[in-house]
Order: sequence, then C-alpha cells, then structure tokens
Amino acid sequence: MTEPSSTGVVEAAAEEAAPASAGAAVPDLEVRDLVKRYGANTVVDRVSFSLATGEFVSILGPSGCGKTTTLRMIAGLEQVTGGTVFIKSRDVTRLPPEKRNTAMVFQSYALFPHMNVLDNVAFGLRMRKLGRAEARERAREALARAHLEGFDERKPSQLSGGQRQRVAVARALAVRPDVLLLDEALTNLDRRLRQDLQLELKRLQQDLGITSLFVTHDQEEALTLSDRVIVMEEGRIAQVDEPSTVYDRPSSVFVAGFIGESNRFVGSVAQLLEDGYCEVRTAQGATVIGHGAVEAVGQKCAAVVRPRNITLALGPVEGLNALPGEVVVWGYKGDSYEYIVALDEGQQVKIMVPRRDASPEKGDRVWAAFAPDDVYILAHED
Amino acid sequence: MSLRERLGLRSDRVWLALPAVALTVIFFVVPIILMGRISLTEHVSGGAYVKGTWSWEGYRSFLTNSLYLKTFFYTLWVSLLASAVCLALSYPLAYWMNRARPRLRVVLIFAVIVPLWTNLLVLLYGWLIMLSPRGVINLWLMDSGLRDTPMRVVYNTSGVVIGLVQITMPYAVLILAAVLAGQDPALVEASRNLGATRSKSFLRVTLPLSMPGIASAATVVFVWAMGEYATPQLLGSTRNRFVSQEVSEQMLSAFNWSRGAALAITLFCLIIVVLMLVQAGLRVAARRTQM
Repeated sequence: MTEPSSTGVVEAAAEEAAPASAGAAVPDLEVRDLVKRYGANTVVDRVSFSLATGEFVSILGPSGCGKTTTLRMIAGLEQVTGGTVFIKSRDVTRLPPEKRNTAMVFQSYALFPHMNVLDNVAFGLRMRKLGRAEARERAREALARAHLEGFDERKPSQLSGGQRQRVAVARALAVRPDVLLLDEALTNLDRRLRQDLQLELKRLQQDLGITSLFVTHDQEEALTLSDRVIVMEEGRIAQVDEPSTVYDRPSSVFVAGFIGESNRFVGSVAQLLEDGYCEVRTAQGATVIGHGAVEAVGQKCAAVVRPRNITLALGPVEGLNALPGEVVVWGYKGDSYEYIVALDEGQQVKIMVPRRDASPEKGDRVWAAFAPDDVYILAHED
Repeated sequence: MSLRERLGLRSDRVWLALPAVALTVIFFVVPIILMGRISLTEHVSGGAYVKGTWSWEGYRSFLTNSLYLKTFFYTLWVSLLASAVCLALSYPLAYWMNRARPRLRVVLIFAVIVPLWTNLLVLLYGWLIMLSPRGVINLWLMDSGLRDTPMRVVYNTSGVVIGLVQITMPYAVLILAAVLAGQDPALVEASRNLGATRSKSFLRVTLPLSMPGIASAATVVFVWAMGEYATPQLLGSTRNRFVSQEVSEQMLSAFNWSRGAALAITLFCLIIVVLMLVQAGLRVAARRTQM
C-alpha cells in the first residue's frame, strides 16, 4: 500500500463526484417514515430514504425483509399504512398506480401474453394517449436501445428468458418514467446471462440518466450495479451507504453477515487502544485486535473478518492477529482456494487464498493471520 | 410418427382407459348407431318402425315441415340466449370469487356448488313455486297492490332461460374462476403501473386473457341447453317446444320412431357442428395470439 498508484487518484475523484450528485436540490424519489402493517405484523417499519436524479440505488435484504413491499408501495400497488411517498417532490402517497409515472420491471416480467413484443412496449405509451404510429415508433426506439430488433411481431412465449427481460426493461423505459423500479428483475435468469444483463442494465440506466430503485436479495448484484445500497433487515433499514463502504465498514453484524462472507468472533471489549483500535477477548479466550465504534471496556461485541483478509501462515506473525489451528478441509473454488481451519481456541474459520503457495494439507498445523485493519468490531448482543 | 405415438399412448398404460372406453361404447356409441339405423327405417301406422327397411321418410317428413324446423330454431335461439345470460351473470361472480379473501371465496364456491347437489326437478319446481302466476312472488305482488295482474315469467321463453341459467351457472362459474385464477396478478399490476386505469386494465388485459374460459363456459352452457328436456317441459310454454320434447312426443305419443330418431340424430349432429365451429374459432384465435 506504499505505492502511490494512479487508481488511487481516480478513486478520490469519484468520491468527490458522488456527494455532488447526491446533494442535488430536489430528490427524484423520497420516502418518509414508510410503514406497512398486515394486522399485527409490521412488514415495513419507518423506512426513509431518497434518490437523487440519475442515481441507481439497491434495496438489499433477505426474503421477507420488506424490500419488495417498500417498492410496491412506491409504485402504488400496495396500500401504505403510514408515511409519505414523494416523486419529483409531489406527494403521491394516495394516488393510484397509473398516476405516479413510475415504471416497474417485475420479477416474472409480467409481459402481456396476448400482445406481441411491439404492442407490449407500446402499451404504456398508448395509455398516455399517444397515437398508434407515434407509440410504435417510440416503442421501436426503446427496443433498439435494449438490443432487441427484429422481434416486434413475436409473442412473449416465443422469447427466451433473457429476451423477455429485455422486453420488460424496454417497456418500462419507453414511458420515460420519473423513477424506474426493478423488483428482482434479474433473479430468474441463469448466472452467466444475469452478469451480462447487469452490465447492460447499468449502461442503459447511465445513458438515460434514469433514477432507479432496484430490489434484490443478491448482494453481488447490488454491489455491482448500485451507486448506493440500502440494506434492510426485518422491515427496517440497517445501513445506507456506497457499495464499498457497506462491504468494508458494515454497520452491524447482520450487514457483515449478509454482504459477503465473514468470520465472526463473539466476545467482549477487553481493552481500548489508540486510534480507535481495541482488543477483544473472545468467549473461548483468544485475543483479537481490531477497530470499530466501541464505547467501553466490557461491552459485548463481535470481531468480524472477511475470509479473503486472512492468510495462512506456518507460524506466529509479528504485528498481526495470528490464531493457531488445524486445517479441516480445503477446496478449489475456481479463482481461489477455500480453507476451513479449526482454531485451537475452539471455533472454525473460513479462509480464502488466491494461490496455494504454502500448500497446507488437511491436518496440517497453521496460523490464521489477519491485520487489525481488516477486523471491524461491532456491537453485538448475546 | 405412428398414430399411437401421436396420441401419446403408451402400450403399458392403455388398459387403464379400458373400463371408461367400454362403458362409452356400450352405452353411448352403440345406442347412437342403433338410433341412426332406426331413423332410416320406414314407419307404418300402428307400429314404431319396420325392421330391416330403408327410408329417408323420417328426415324428409320434418325437414319439409316448417313446424318442426321452427322447433329447431327455437331451441337454437333459446340456447344462445341462455348462454349469453349465463355468462353475463357468471363472469362477474367468478371475477369477484377470484379476488375475494380466502374465507369469503370458500363461502362463494360453496354457494355456487350447492345447486349441483340438488335434484333437477326440485330446482325447477322451486322456480314454479316462486314464479308461477299463482306462485309466492305473484301472490305477494298482488296482495301488496304493486301489481293487478300476475307477472308472466314462467310457462314462456323467460321461464326456460331462467331454468337453464340456474342449472348451468355452477359449471360456467367454476370454469371462469379457474381461468381467472390462472392469470398472473402481476399482469394487471403491470398494466396499472404503465398508466392504465382499473377499467382499461380490465378491458385490455383481464378480459382478452379470459377468452378461452369464456369460450369453454359458453360451450358447456350451450350444449347443455340444446339437449335439455325437463326445463322447457316444466317452465316453458306449450306452444314453443324444444327438439327433445318433440323427440319424446314422436317416440311416446305419436309412436313414430323413425321420425323421432331422425329428429334426435339431427339435433346430435347440429350440436357437433356447433362444437367444431367453436373449436375452429378458438384455434384461429389462439394462432393469432399465440398463448
């Protein structure tokens, strides 16, 4: 990290640009204290966030966290129990879906099976009282932009999954919505196609500068596509940040566990050190040094480390956390090797290494070594 | 591809259909063939038909008689009318059922099915008790001074339509409800989201996608109505009759089996022709929409 690389400059410039767009005067979409209850069951609990013009934001969370319900309340497909939805600073909370000028891409795509591709895409334009010819013209433009030419007369049933997804995106973009809403829009595609379409979606979204809210349970997808990520847990917002911050500085053990893989040492703060570092004594008696927003000695906490940030050493390492243990299992993962190591202090950790330089085998004695900078200490109950 | 493959038959499973096939052959195909044979015999006064003879007289005698032809047209017209009324009443109910909360839906399905457990004659006499000129409703209307003369809703065409609709509606509702339940609810949401009002969404999405269900429900009602005997007999007028009443008349009163069989076979063929037309229409529509 001593080398002043050119990429560092680019990153700094990008960081300056991001707040400028986020600080635009009027957000395209704003929700305030949004609540949804079904009987006694609160599905969405006082959720507030806003999207600046042209921003791509993902709502990420496990199934049942309320992310889709939030999206549907913004679209007007679900009644709001409490709170307000503003689109272009207009209060649309009580408006029917057709008066909101949002466009949604559904998980099932919801293409009209009785209409051909062109009529599907022209549908929203026809509903906006455009003439047949003009609607079709603009529908063709939208299809061309989604790289779907020559399919005008096909029925949805005659298209592949990826083509259907493109039609759904073209149909949503054709109406030039104030906000584009994507509900697990890539989930039903196979992995390879999904990655291609992710990039294409991002390119389209940037070209058109269209404000987008993307709901997904796939953390990789959210990190790849988004300017900012909203992580939801049980109806509440757990963290809102740029993808790299969410990954590197998770605000809670839940976020750390949900975004990417992590190892967790549960214990309590043993000692506060300088510069925000502190020492954690794990329940099994090991000591781990890390950094984080902890307040007092004795506070219950968890030390979290990514598998990629741990190296396998053949002995104790100066200046690093190093916990001895024994290799339980290792496997080849395509672009890296994954080890499970049973530490002497009792728990197992997962370790990812790019190459098998040291080549420890099953049963070998190793030290799991990781830098205090890569350990974040998070408040943790129980 | 062999015929067996085209029909999707696998030799080791075919025998599973055997009992049903046997029943159909013995109690449906064979009687129809015998009926067809009888329709082509000579008739002599004093006997049902003359065995072993061949004659077109059974057909000629009614095809050249406007009274019999009128019976056919009347049957066709009332069946179409009943189909239309039945669908107009069934579709909204099926639509509601599909959108109702689960508990209400169970109640509605139950309410639709109960008449199916009730004997046909009980249902029809029920209508007579309520609607006949000296029935419950008319007596009440006249007692309360709302009307001087009784409403004439039974013993005429409206009586037949009421009866037919009552009998066939459960089938129509269940067919339509099944088709509506099969529609992805996201389709209407997508249409609303794209700017269509509630009514536009219905007209442009829900209704066109219900067409196959509407066609099959209409077919069931129509075929049932065409062959109906008890309903026109009990609720209809004595002047306008259904073909099946005429068949019964020829067989049992006039004792002209040749003509009775000819009438029955003609009705049978007419229904098959209509069914084939509906199927062809559906196939064309399906090709146009590729669903």
